[in-house]
Amino acid sequence: MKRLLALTRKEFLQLRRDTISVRMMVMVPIMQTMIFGYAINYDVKHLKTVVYDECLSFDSRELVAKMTASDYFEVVGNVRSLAEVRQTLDAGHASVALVIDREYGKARHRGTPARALLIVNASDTTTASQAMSIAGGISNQLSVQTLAKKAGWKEKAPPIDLRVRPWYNPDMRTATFIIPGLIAIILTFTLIQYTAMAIVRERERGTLEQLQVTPVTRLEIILGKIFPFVLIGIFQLTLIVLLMRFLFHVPIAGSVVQLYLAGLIFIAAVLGLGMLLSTIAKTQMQAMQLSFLFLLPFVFLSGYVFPIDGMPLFFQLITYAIPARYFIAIIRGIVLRGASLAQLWEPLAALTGFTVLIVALAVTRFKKTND
Amino acid sequence: MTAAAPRPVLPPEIFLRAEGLVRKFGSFVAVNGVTFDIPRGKVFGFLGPNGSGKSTTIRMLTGLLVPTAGTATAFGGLDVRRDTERWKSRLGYMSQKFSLYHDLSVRENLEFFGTVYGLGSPQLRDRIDSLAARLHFTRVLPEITDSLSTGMRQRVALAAALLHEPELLFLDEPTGGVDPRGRRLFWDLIYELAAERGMTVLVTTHYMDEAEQCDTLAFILEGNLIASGSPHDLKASLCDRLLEVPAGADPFAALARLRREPVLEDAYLMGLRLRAVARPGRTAEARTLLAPLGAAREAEPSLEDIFVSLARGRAEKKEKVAA
Ligand SMILES: Nc1ncnc2c1ncn2[C@@H]1O[C@H](COP(=O)(O)OP(=O)(O)OP(=O)(O)O)[C@@H](O)[C@H]1O
Ligand SMILES: [Mg+2]
Repeated sequence: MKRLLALTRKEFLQLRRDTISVRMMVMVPIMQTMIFGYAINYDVKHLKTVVYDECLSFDSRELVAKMTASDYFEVVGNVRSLAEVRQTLDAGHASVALVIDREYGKARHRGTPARALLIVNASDTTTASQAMSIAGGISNQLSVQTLAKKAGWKEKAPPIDLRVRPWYNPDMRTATFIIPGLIAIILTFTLIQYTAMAIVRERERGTLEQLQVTPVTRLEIILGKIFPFVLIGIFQLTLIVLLMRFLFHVPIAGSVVQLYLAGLIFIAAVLGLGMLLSTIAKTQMQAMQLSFLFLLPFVFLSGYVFPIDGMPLFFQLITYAIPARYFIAIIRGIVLRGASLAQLWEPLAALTGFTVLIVALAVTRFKKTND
Repeated sequence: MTAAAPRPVLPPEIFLRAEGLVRKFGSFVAVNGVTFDIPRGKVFGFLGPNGSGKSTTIRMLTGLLVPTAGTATAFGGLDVRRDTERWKSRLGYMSQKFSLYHDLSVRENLEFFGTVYGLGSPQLRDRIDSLAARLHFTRVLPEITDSLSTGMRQRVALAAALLHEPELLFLDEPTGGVDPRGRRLFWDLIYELAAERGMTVLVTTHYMDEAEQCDTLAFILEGNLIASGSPHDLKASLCDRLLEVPAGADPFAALARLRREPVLEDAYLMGLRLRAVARPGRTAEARTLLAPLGAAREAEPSLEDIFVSLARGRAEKKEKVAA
């Protein structure tokens, strides 16, 4: 125990001298949370819209007004011809064009289909599909109103009233969805690399050998390496949770204790991976490069950015081998839906299983390579 | 399953016994069956060219490397493989490569290693201070280890290996890059500990003056221990075969000619004199051969002569086997 304490103290003494790493440990979570929380935003708002209103009637103005009132569209100009519409879109001055047919108003009064055309720059698929569905909604609403009036319902509600309630993220904010998952990504990003490099550095410098001629056992060496990084992991976890809660106002619906419990299991998995890397890498440089190898699948195949259901089957199968997938499912469950670990037993069991496997593999390999 | 295996008991005067130590790396044999004894309280020197297997042997004796074959017994009956933990707690090791933490201060390094060996704080502090005073590095105790000169680093590393007062000390080229004054400090302390506390020492070195002071020397070549004994005994084996003559007008021509003589094992220039080593039992023929250059007299061999002679003898034997 005394030896383990000495090893841990030594690790922190070394860390204290390495001010760059310490700053990185604090700055990386903060910066990444800021970037992902603020900059990455799938919420489509204020789409630049150019209007070519051939009708110029009360009805056509009503349509434009309805669309701008939604906050999703913002009229940046009115043009007088299709050629001009094309020009504006080509130049990138607008990403949506609304063309209202000359007969639009008349058709509405006659009760025949009133025609308007929405042109969308679909290069960005997310934006395009949102714009289309919102515009579709507005036009439906208008038609239903007309029908209702015709049927003599006056101001009362139309016969079918389908309302949509976005649960768990009622404002449909990207930050709410992204930041809980970010916990997994940041822990992966920093911890794998630091653990691997800390071990490889000791081997490179020969201090690992010096340690191994002392009565310190292998287990103590391993624990002495891991323990400080568990503390660092918990620190980073806390940092992100605080930012998430108080800067981005994402409420934690479930139990914080359970969040930390799952966090600890994931930290153990990531440290295990770091140790595993240290048995492969010969130099600190290699350790760093290898840790990036893990980062990519962890970011893209864990469901963090791209929904797993949307992936081709082959990639979906791969995601099962990525521990971050389970951890992200667990945190989103706890933070967003207020689920308990008992309800989340499936991803929890998978995560725990992976952790045990990784740590066991890392420890055996560590023992072997240092013989 | 071998629980009842009788422990090999060493004779009381022997502190460490290595028997048939072999270490292979893949198919490469780095150490090929090395056997030797080190008496208690003696300094045993390990000599050999680069890559001959000195460090590998030491690493097996510290418990760092598992021997492919062979045993090592010490501390009155412990086996390096069976009693690894106890074995490790009683030895000190200074590796060939400087291996303290670069980013810790000297004091922090010593405190860390002391604690790891189970030393408590007042005792540990005393030992650090007294070793620092003894090896003249008190001044650098608060400095970051990385900023020390080579000589200073080696002193600190020696102190780290001695903190827990080991009974057995392994020093792998401890004085590489250390100035003469530093080397003196070093050896004074080591001989004092050997004499007063009965500490047993195994040291490797490429410095012949250091080897000269060892109680016993062993020559290792390509993983084989080819000769051992006290410096005096080893020199005796060459004593009547080393002849010296004045170099004459054209020493290089003479040297080239002598080197082709089958009677001689070796010939080299030593200042203004020519030295020739006769093959065993052919000293008389060698004298006749050298006569035209002047009167040959027997010279006092240095350890370097022994070293070269042993290495050459081995190489020739190998050629014969190959032919
Ligand atoms: N871990 C290893 N893997 C493969 N080969 C090794 C390993 N360690 C040592 N060797 C090889 O074993 C041989 C003996 O090495 P060793 O370090 O014991 O030599 P040495 O006598 O200490 O040499 P030097 O005087 O240069 O320190 C060398 O050829 C070396 O390349
Ligand atoms: Mg060596």
